[in-house]
Amino acid sequence: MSDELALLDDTARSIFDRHCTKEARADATTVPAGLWRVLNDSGLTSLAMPEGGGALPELVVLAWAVGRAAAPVPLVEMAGVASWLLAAGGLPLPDGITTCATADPRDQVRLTRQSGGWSATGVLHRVPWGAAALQVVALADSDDGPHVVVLSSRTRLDPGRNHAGEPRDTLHLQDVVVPASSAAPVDVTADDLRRRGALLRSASMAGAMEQVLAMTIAHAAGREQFGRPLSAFQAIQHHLVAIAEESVCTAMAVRAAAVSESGSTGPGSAGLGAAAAKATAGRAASVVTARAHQVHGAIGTTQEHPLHWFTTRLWSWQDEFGSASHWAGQIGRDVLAGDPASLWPRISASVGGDAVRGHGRPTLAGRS
Amino acid sequence: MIDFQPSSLLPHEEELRVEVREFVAESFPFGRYLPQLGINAEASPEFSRRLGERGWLGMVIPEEYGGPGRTAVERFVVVEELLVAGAPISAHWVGDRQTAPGLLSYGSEEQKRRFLPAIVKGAYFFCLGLSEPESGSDLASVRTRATRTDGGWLVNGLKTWTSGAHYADFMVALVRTSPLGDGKHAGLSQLIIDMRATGIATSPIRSLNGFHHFNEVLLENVFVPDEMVLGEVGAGWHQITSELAYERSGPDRFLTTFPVLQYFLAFRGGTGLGPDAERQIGRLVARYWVLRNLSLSVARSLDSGQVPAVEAALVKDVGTVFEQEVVDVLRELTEAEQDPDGDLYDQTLAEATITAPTFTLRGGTNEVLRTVAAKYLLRTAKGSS
Repeated sequence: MSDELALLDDTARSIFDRHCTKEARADATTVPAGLWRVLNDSGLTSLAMPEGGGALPELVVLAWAVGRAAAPVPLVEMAGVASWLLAAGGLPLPDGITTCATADPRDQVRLTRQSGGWSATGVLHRVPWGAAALQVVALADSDDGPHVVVLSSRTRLDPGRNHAGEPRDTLHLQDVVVPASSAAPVDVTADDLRRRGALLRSASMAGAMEQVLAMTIAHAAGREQFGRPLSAFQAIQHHLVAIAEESVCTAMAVRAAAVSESGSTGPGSAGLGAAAAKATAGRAASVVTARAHQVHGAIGTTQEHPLHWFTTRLWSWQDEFGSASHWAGQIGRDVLAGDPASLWPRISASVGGDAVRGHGRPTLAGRS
Repeated sequence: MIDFQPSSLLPHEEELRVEVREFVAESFPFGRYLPQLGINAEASPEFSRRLGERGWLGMVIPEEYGGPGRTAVERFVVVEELLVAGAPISAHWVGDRQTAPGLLSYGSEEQKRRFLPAIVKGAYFFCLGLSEPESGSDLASVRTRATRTDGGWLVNGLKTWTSGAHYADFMVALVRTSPLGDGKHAGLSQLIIDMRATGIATSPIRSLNGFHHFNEVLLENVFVPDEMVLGEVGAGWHQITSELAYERSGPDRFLTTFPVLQYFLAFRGGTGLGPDAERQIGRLVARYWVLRNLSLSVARSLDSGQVPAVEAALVKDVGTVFEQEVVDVLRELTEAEQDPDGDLYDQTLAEATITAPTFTLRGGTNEVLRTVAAKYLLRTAKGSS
């Protein structure tokens, strides 16, 4: 990791350490005002805007920190996805909490011209913090091609949530008025959006897994049964190693994808990056959550114990922006349609970027 | 606590890859050649010498000892291309992967001058005298004994599971040079034993497919001169464990069954296999991509002077378990009785099926690896709290 990324990681980490308290986490349905203000004032919510200077590797660091802290904030949605969509359309980032639609396969929003602007009709499923946000940034179709649109009202909202209690609200739009300045043509597809979301969710999953590993090691070392710490038992040791291995696989997949998706390599390998990251994170989540709960025993299944902040997120995030199956299927279709002899060149294509120089520097996992 | 950074190949490394890729494509034409599977491959001294002519053996050996003085990553590139092509790599394998780094770290000047140029040319092949009938996972319990004699040592004992002892020129053996005392890790030494010396009897142990890979090697009053002690007398345990990062994390720990996937795609693949097959294949490809990046990251760390021992252990555990998973997944997708005498895909799958149990045993069982890794996790967690 470069010095700049390490600095960003330190910043995010110290903000969450101080402001992402137990109380802030307790009610995921509202965005904790104090925490959000600090994130906003520090510029993290607008990191991806042209003036914020944050590229994909920066946003991956941010998403990682969100997962490590189990922070109940739409930071990934605003800084990682909504800002990127807006920048693609040349639109400014509005004030206040701004979330993104997730390009759920069932989503459809149609823009039609009307005097002085547009009218939007359609539905957006399971929008993160859809009710709490002042605006939702989404992709929409129109006679003039795909557009990015900023929606600040809706006709109806069906509240929903994920396992961690994070809001996932469905928005219905019927002839909702959209000013001309709130929509712009883009060449971003729904698949592009899903791919970006998938990589950033995978990064948050890597952060959550890092935390689960640390908690599980601490629990195994601290709790005694049969007169010995749990960590003295081989069966328990092997659980710890399995968690570490899957966390390491996820971390590597995310880091490599962050570089390859930044666009420094040719077509093909970029697609493998985010898809492979989400497929890896999803596979890892089942192992990590099951084994961590097994080591923690009954106490880990309670509301009182902090483990659930992370495992409930992993259970939800593994399916958001496309499940492991979805992305594995996409990779497989591609591979089966291609030349069998070209599979290895594709797997072994350099991830690109200047990752070589990052060697030997402090890592995300190195200072937990 | 665990450090893996992604890494890309540099332009000169990419050029090397192209060179190797062209060489293997010509030597082992895709779809028409029965690929060998990883280090279970047959030994072909002739092929090994051809690699030597190209400068692809003993690559990390510096020029002063006759080597090309290349890096761990450059060796990584050559090895992964050979494994993907299913090349017969066994003859030179131990010397290239194990003995060369060991000699570079601990060998005397005389040993380096004698052995390293020969490894580079593919002129000397090595085997490892580690396991014994009563010493498997618990390697430090070896009983083969070396006792002092005039000008050297007399070695007595029985080594087993010795890959390639039947064609190797030398064995690097772990032996007890002083009686079992305070700790079992003390008093062990590494000796370089000439396989043509008097008192050595090698007999084959046939694998379940009838293949001759392993041997039993009986050593009776075998004389080993003092100058053939590798490193320090009594430091053998430290020497072999400090070299494990080289052994554990290489492409041979996740690519063994890659030729099976390639031939599945070539002989049974296509676009009509349906969504389940697509997902299964996609999962395998994603895992290969991750494992390769992990393995490359370890090679890069070695080049920067680090000893990523635990990272290497994790890669070996995940990688070898995955090599077995690949076989299971492809067998299920094949949906036919396995036929060891069928087409090239059938034969490759059959070979993978019956050699799969060895993947998680060779070079130390995965259970032992996990215990080593867990101790490290617990130790570093304690240190940082």
